[in-house]
Amino acid sequence: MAEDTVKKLQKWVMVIDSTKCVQCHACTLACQNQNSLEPKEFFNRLEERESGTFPAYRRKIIPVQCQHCDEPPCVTVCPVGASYKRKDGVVMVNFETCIGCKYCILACPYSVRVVNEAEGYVHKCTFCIEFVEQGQKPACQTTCPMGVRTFGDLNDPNDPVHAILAAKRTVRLLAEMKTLPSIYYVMG
Amino acid sequence: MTRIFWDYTVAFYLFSAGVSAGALIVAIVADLIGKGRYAHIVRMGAWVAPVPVTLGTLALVFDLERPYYFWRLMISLEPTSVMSIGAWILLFFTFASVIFVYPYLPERYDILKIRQKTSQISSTKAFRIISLILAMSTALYTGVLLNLLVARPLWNTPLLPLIFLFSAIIDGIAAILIMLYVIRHKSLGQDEFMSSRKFLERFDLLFLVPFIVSVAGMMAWLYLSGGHGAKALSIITGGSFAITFWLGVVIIGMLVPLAYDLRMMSGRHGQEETEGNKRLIALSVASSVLIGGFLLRYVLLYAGQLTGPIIN
Repeated sequence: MAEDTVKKLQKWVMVIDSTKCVQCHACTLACQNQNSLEPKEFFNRLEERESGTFPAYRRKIIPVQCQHCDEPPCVTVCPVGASYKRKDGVVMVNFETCIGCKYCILACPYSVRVVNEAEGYVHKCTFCIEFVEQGQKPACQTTCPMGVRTFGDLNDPNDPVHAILAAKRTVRLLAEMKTLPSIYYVMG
Repeated sequence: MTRIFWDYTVAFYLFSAGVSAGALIVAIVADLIGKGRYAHIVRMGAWVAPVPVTLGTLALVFDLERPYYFWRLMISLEPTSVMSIGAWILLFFTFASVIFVYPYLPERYDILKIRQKTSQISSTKAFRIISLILAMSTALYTGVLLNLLVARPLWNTPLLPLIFLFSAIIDGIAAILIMLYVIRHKSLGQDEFMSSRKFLERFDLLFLVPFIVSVAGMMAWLYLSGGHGAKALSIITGGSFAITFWLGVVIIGMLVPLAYDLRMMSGRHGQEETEGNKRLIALSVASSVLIGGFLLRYVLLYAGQLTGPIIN
């Protein structure tokens, strides 16, 4: 299955419309459930930002998870080649190879990597690649009641992500870090 | 969200690798310049070099989440990873420091019967140059390891590797000075001892001043760059690390040794003091250099992890 995915040269991306988020944390729980995480470990989180004073006060929620960067600093720094990037854009960790040095955690500007304390390796969001390879969507998207997330293939011109990217102004988090994330944000 | 992932054991490693690298640099340079005049410095440097780095590496291995897989670093070479390159530099540096000290071991400990061989190798100029390069690489890489992480604004400043190199050299000098005072070799006459000490003090000043200037330069750079860098700097200068930084790093690690060196250079030192007092002062100053060297790495390591870019 993995081979097929690579051959078709997909480029998996996600568009997150943060203006729709109601901060219900269902995505965080669905992710923990899907990846069998300990309660204190999570692959995605909601960052809250406030700005301005009344009446110009604004509050926004930013769902943050692995950005699956095209220039992933975590892959560059890994001393044993355990962190790697698939041809379809998904950044993965080989749990067998990882020695748990945590250098990748320090290298990641988004703080989305987690130590698995029981096994000692570092893990993180995989875009639910086991679902994606079966043609399904990641758990954080399917569980979201507000339709914040849209996951799709940037190399497929008919994919719904293109419509959103064309219609709305999107940004990528910490663009100044030049990591070229695969997650696009509608910030409103 | 942010937490400490590399704790004081890593700070200890960064420090101990620096002491070892510095000691070997001083020993080799003293040998190249002195042509035998500073044989005691070379001997003490050789004695110091292998010990801290070995302890530090051990600490580093146990900082891994999977210490029993540390050998995987030695079956791979990732050219983009400073840690991977550093692991190899560290391995060769440790080998070099062991070869360097081997001929100084007492005859009865020469179980492997390679004394003759190591003595031949370690006395060649090529070996000394390679060892010098390895020692400098070890000191520099511990800085580059942190320096290249764009995600950590405090570390991502151009002067960090140089700061670590200068600090390593003055730490090495301090360790050798302590050895000279504590284990005064029987064959070491008063004149030789004085000339060795003088050499170390001059050499110390030669690197202490650039060290202080480069730390000040790094702080100025962070302050002027604004944004994430300035914010990271502020937790050192005025936040939770302020006392450790100003008292430990600046006063104990920089100003005390600077005052000592300047006083010794001025030549006005020593008329009124007894031999025991001089010894006590020298040992205290050398210890304060080492304390400052450790605290510098500790503060930078912790503050760097606690500060990062803010997603907005």
